[in-house]
Amino acid sequence: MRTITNLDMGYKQGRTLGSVRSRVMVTVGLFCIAFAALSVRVIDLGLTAEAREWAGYSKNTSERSLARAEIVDRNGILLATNLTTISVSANPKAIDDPAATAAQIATVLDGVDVGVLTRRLSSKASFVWLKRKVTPAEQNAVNNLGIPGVEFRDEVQRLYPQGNMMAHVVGYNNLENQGVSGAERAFDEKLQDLVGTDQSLMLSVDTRVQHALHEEIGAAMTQFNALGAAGIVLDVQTGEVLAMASLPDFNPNDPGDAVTDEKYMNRAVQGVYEMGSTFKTFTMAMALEHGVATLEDAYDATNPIQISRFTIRDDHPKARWLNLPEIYMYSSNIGSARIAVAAEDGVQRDFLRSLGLLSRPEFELLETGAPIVPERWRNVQSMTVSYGHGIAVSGLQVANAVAALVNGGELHRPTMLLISDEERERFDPAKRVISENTSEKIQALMRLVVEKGTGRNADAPGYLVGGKTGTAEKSVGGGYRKNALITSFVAAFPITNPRYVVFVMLDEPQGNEATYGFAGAGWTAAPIIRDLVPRIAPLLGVSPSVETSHPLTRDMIKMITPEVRS
Amino acid sequence: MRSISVITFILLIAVSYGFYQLQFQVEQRQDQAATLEQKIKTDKENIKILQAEWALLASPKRLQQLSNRFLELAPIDPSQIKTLDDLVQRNDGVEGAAFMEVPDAIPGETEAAVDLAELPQRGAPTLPTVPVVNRGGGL
Repeated sequence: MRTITNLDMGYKQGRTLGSVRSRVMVTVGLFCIAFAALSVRVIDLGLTAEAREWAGYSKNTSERSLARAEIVDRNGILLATNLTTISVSANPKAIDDPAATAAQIATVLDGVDVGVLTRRLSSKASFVWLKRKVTPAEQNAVNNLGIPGVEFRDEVQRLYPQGNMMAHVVGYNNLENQGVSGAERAFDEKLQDLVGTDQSLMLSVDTRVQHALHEEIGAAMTQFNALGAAGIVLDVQTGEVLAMASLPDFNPNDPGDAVTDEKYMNRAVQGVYEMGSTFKTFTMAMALEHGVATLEDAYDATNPIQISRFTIRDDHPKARWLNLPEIYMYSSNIGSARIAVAAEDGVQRDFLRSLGLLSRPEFELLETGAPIVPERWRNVQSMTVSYGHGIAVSGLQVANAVAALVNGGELHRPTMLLISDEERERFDPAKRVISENTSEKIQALMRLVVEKGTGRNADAPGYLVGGKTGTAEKSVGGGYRKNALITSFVAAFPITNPRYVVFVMLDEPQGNEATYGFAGAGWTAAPIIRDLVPRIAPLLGVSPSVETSHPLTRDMIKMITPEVRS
Repeated sequence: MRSISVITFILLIAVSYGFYQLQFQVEQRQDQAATLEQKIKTDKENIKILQAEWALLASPKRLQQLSNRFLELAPIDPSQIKTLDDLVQRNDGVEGAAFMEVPDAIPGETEAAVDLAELPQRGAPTLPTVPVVNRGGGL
């Protein structure tokens, strides 16, 4: 019993001691774990947290300094980029003597007015701009003045290295770096999304072609004393715009405030005009495609047509029956009108609609203009529309529709973005508008105009240009002004297998001695094509051809009744 | 017991010193990284400026002005562009000056056995004088 008690005692004592020890050990263990965790966290904070903070900081600053991605052309040439510039600001609350400070600052900053500065520095605000975008020298000078409360801020400035030439393609931004026109406006969101990706926005334009187009339409505008000019170069297989120019233009680096000024209007895409005889191309295509007429069919163009209050006349009256090639090459309004009314009701309208001429084109630029189409479509409208009057469309629409007529018959969606082959199908579901057979006839007709018709001045030897002139009187208040013309030329080359369509337009050109006073498209717009195509064809990889004509054109020439010269 | 305390104390000091050193190094590296990042940023900014300057200098308008002023070049005439098919075989007895004739390899020996130094030396082919074409506008 005693032994047992002893044993029991010993057991009890041992148990108590053991449980105390284990409790202490558990506590120690818990403390160790807690301190270990603290140590790990301390090391973590000491070694890495600061780095994380830095990483976040530098990312933020780089994002702020690059508010918009760059814009480049199809060959990667810079069209718009960002430069960091310095602006001078001030905190008026920290300025004691506004007038004296203003006078001091005005001595070192160019182009600031002491009065304006004084007013700004006296304001109740805690932040005012003194001058934005100063030069490093000016910054240095202001810094040397050492005025407390005057500060410098980094600002992103958009730079357009190509200047005026690309004005209507890239457009420009306001001071807050928001797109106001052109690609800057059309791709405003995309340009911001691309920030930080090191990617730039690639347009379909080719700077070299753009320069040639810009220069040639500029030269013609000066030569013929025109109010304005416009031009587009379009790839007929993809709908890509290779060049697009509109004059007068502006310098996007210094756009000014007068956005209402007409130099900000894009005459190639935004402005819609009655295009005149270039529309006869569509009339011919409609007639041939929808079985209204064959090439051999002739129409009576002996006398002008009287319909309602209109008299439809020819500019170069032949006063006889003309077959289709003759109507087209002599640009006979009477013949076109007769073809239009020979078509069944609605055929002409549906055909023009299928070419995208009756609705606003699906084009990226937000300023893209919508056509003005007749409200009612009776005989008289059919007739005038057949030769491009009573309907106003943009140069882009004409170029794109003609591209479809000459490329084998497929209408593409025009674009100013470089679309990859994979994306193309989704982006541009090409739509067949005429058969290949009709397309070939249109090619031949356009070549005929350049070989024998009103477009002879557009012939660029070696490059097989085909095209059509368009001379329209400007409509003013319901009537037409005889001496105010819109002359245009739509060309395709090489016409036997067209790759590019060129559209050029002059607004109110004046005839001069070199043109014997004539101001029509054949004298003013056609020569632009003659000068432009040989410049851009080598750039676009179009080699000169030994061919001098289109096979079908040769057949057409045989159909022409020889001129009786008096 | 005392020895354990001493060892622990020494360890504590060693670890603290080690950790301080480590942290010091890390801070240095961070400073370096920050400096480098700043430099990368400046460099990128400078590259942008240079690219912009290049775009200005290489703009077609400027190149055309320079070309018109300093070069005797005229726009390409379509007749100046030829393909290989357009070249006619020369049959006037003159050997092609631009091509060096290579002797036939000696039978039985490899082609590489030809000693280039033994080949007949010719002077550089003289180029015909190119008539200077009139200058004109255009690229």
